[in-house]
Amino acid sequence: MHKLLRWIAVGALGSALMGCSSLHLYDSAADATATSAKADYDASKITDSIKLSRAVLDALDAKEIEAFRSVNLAERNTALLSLLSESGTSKQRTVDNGFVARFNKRVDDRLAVLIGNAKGASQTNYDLAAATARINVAAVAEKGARNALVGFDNAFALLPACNVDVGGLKDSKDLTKAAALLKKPDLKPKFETLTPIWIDRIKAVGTECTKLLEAQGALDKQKQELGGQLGIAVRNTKNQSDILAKSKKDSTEAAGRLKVATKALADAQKAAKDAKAVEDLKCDLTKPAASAANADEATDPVAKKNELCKVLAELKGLEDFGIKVVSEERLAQINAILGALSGESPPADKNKLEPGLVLLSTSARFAHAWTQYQQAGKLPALEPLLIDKELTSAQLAYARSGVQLAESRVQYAQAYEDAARLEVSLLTNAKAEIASLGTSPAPGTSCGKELTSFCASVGDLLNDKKLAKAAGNGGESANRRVYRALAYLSESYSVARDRQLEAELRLIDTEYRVALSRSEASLASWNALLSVPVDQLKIYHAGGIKPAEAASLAAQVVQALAAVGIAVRIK
Amino acid sequence: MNTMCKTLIILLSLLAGRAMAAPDAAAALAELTAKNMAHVSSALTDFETRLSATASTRASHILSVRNLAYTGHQVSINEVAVLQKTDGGEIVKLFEALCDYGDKAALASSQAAAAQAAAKAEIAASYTPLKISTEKLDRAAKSMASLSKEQTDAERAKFLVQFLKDTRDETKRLLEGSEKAEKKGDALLKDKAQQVSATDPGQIKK
Repeated sequence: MHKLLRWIAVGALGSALMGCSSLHLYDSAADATATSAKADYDASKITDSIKLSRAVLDALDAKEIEAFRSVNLAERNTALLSLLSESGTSKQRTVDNGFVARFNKRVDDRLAVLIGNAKGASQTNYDLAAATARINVAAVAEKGARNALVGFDNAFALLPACNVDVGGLKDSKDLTKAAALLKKPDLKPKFETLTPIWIDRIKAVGTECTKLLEAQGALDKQKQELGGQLGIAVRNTKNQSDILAKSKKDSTEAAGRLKVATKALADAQKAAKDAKAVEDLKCDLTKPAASAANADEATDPVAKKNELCKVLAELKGLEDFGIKVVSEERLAQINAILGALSGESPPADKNKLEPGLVLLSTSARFAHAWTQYQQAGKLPALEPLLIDKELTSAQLAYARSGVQLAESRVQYAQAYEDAARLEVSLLTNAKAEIASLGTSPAPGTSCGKELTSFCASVGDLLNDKKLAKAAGNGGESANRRVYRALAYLSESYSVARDRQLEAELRLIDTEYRVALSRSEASLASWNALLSVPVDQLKIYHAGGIKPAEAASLAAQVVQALAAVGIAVRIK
Repeated sequence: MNTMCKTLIILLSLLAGRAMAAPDAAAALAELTAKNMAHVSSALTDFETRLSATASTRASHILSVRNLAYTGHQVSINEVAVLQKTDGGEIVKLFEALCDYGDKAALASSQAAAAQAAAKAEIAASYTPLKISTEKLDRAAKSMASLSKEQTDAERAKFLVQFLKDTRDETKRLLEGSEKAEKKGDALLKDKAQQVSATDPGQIKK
């Protein structure tokens, strides 16, 4: 009997001791090493290197712009001095040596680079300006039509910006189309008699919007036909805008599908009998998702899992835009689960956690989250959830910055296009000023004894009493026309070409920003992850049973044995 | 006495067994962490090497472009000096007036852009909702959670191993993307610097 009691006590004490998960012998050397490692890790401040890198990039960016700007000003200065200085020639002077021909040649050369054809530059500039003006007029008219509508009901203020659907309102026969666009099925006036007036105003918005779209289409068509640098810039802006719009559209649609697919899988898993439920929900996004041929079967969890994996793979393919959607959804679901873990959510809300658990289960580290919940009602542990939240937040931050950089690319491409257009405009204005001096003789025409505008230097045109005050077309004196032409040329460098350079350099800089953002995300993820074991090891080694505590424990063991009478036998 | 000794030996071996089990887990965790820290350290070194290389390339472009600008400006300064010594005072005055006109136009343009940006920022600030960062709270919660007994050492280690594996895969992808973007930036900048050099601003063509 005593023997039996002894073994029971030994077993019980042993089990009790084994239950102390942190029980281990204290090692002062290990404690010092872990403390030192933690201190070194904290001191390494790995994310600080990223902040420093950002400062380096900012400084390089500013210095690059400054250097290129300085070259541009040097070019402007030499261009102006070239035109202002007399053209030296040992041959018989012709109109080609005069200021007018040299000015026109310089401007034409640049216009040829900008739009591919200097001859049509004036017409092109005029057509673009006229098309832009038509857009402005149409935009004002459309705004007016909208304002009139908002006067009836504030709900009309939420009408989307002018697009094909808004343009379609011109064919409205009732309030249905407007109600659909406003997502307000009960749209109607307080008094039925006002309905026809509302419809008229709604149709007016549609008509004006259609005119605006037509004006925009006409400008786009003209722009697409442009050659030279401006043509390239126009197509680049359109290309970047289309990519951005497509990424936004695709990610918005995929975000909707992600919610639907996640809920569908959760429902299918719940509805399926144990044998049919899928235990392993994790998705391998490195391979194409299996066919979702049976996705219509609401009760087939395998098909639903394939569908969800397919949506996740699709989102991964959308890069930053897709990662942003997945991270936002995952973060929202983690927060909901954390809320439930803290006991703040009423139990009734727990059903809402199911899609979140399904989503978490698609990643290897939480692969069993759904099964554990379904089989034992157990939610994932707090610590991994918090680590995942930190990692997901880091991913979201870099995905957002990637999306922002994609938007910046469009802005810089547009800024470059606008600046190139401004240069075309300034140069054609400059040419128009010179053209007012009269029709130039054929190239190579010899200059006679009498000084004419076309053989004159800029000094003559500005200072010669006869030439300077001669009124050209429009009545302004030649010296004023010439001065203004040169001022336009100066501005084309100082403003238009300067803006082009800046936009181009900022566009290049976005590539460096993308590189930094990726590295930042990588280091932030590691930082979030490594801090956990480093902290744990420090805590672990700081604890443990010290020699004095071990002696006390041995004494307690003897007392425990005595308590169950084992010591009696010894006596 | 023999029995007592035997009992104590059994108990202490259990205790020792338990005491040894934990250090094994701790040692495994320490080994894993050390390996990953070494990986991060090399990634960080690689990142810094790449950043230094890029900064050095960009700095050399800046220097060559500045040299180009310096040469261009020097040519203008020399030409102005020649004009001033050879009755070209009027031309110099005109040149300076035109440069001044361009500079003023640029200043007005940048002031207008700055004012527009400031107005935009002001409007954005007025409707941007208050952003509350939960980062520190989450970190505190994470530290507290690591002290809890919610997970066993084995469970915790299993999670960490999977987290580390996932992070390695993800960061590999990120770093590859980073390098690709950096190379694209370098190539574009090189093209731009070459394009500017080809324009030769240091020549007055009459």
